[in-house]
Amino acid sequence: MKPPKKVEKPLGQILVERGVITFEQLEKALAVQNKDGGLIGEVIAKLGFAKEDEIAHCLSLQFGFPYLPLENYEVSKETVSLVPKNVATHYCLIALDKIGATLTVAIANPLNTQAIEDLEDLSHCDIQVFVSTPSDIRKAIEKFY
Amino acid sequence: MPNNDKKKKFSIQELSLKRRIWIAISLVTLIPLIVIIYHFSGLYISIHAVVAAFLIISLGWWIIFEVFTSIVRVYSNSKKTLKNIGEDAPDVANEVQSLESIINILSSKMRSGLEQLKDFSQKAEELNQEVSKKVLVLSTILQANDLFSKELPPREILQFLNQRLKEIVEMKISFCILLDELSGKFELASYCGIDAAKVEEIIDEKNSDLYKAGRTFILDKENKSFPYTKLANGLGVINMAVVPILSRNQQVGILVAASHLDNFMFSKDDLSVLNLFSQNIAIIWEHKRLSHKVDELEVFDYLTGLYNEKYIRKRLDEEMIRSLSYQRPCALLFMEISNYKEYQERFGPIESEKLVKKTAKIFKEGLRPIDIPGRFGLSRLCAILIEKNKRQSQAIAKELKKKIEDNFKNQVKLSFSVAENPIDGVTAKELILFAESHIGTSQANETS
Repeated sequence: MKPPKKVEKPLGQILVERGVITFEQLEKALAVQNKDGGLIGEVIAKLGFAKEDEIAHCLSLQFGFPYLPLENYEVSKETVSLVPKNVATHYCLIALDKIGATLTVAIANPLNTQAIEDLEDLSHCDIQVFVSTPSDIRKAIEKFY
Repeated sequence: MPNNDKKKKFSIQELSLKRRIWIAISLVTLIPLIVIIYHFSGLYISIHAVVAAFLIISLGWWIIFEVFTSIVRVYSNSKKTLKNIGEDAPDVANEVQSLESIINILSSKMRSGLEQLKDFSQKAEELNQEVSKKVLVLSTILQANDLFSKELPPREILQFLNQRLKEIVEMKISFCILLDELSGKFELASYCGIDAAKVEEIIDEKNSDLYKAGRTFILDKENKSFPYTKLANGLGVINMAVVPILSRNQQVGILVAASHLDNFMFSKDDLSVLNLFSQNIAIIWEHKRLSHKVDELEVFDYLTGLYNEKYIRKRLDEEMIRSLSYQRPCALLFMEISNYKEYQERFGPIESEKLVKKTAKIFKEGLRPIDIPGRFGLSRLCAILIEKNKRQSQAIAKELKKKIEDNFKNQVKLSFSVAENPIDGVTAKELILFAESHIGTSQANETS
């Protein structure tokens, strides 16, 4: 299953449109992001404007990416190693399963089409995307690599 | 000519005075004696014989007269000579005595004249040496400046100056220690007549005062209060001059000349030569420092106007940090003119430079304003493609390759490679290494 839609809209704008955060909160979050860097979703969560799973849910509902909590998810080392650790860390994603020519991954930002393309080039597979929270993915990376 | 020689041989003028006197006395006394003996022995003497005897006696007297006349002539000439040189002739009636005195005066004059001449020639020789030394100093400085303008490495120019200094001031050892701005340490910059390891050993002895004193120190026959005798002993010398190298009122090194000659003393000229050399070394040091600064500040390539390699390396590191922070890719594109060498052989260096310049122009025009184009070697261009992944970057590279090759009507062949953060590396160094090792080997090159 390929990503349902390829959207170029920034995540912050989607969250405002969905009413998860206000425009002012987005502006504040963008200012913090400009200063300290980091992903907008994480900055918003860090500032306490929305929870990480709220953001993930929003993305899931808006664009049809299935949400996958990774807390009690087990992944085989073989599957994980299909994506190098530096790529997983960089894009905040983790490979979950490979069936045939389809690689299933959980990613914090499913709108990052370039990351999906890189995964396609690396694995020579179609990519099936699940949404997960950044902190869950980071914990999984630490656990499985 | 042989006749003349014969004549001269038998000429009375050629004979010595003594011999002439002997001949004259013989003629004057012997002939009358023969005539008298002949007459008293009762023999007949013809009138012809008497006339002949008279003529011979006259000849003898004439020779005597000639001898005395020549002496008087010599005396008169000597008097004139004495007068000409401003001396009075001795007041003696006897010409021979007077002549003796005149000869004495003249010979003493001649002796003193010769001594003066000797003095003059010695002074002229010294002057010549001094002039040639100064000419050598000036020509050395001019040559150093020439090497400088030819952009020879400073170390080679300093080595040349040290070599010349050693010859000019006739020293056994000459070396200079300069401050290295990067490390902040004083290091041996050039040396002559000594093993480098020996000097390094001396520097290790931490003669730090030597680099701060800001004045000249001399050790020789006259100057014994030299604070660095340990240094001199270390070098095995008994004469030593340590001249500071000053730049902007700050001591940046020392110039050392040393020898082991007995009874040696540094002359004023030697010290002024050392000072002149130290000033020139200071200029070289300052130039080197400024060149470093200019190099550090320079971010553009002189030919293409694109960013230079140093800037690209630095900027790539920054962009990679940024791309990680925003979870975005960042790509590095290398584009090489693969037939550059052939092009250069065919059209020459000027046309080849024009080619690189034009290629760079088209290359830059084909990129977005946010991308960072640069030159990464003689015939290699590069670009940091902001937030582009490998697939996107390869598409850009293909398009650029086609555009440039079409522009040169396929006289130019290009090959490229793309490296992406995070796929191909997580540091600028890794990304560059990947792009360099994959240039011309990527699938994109073949399909293009």
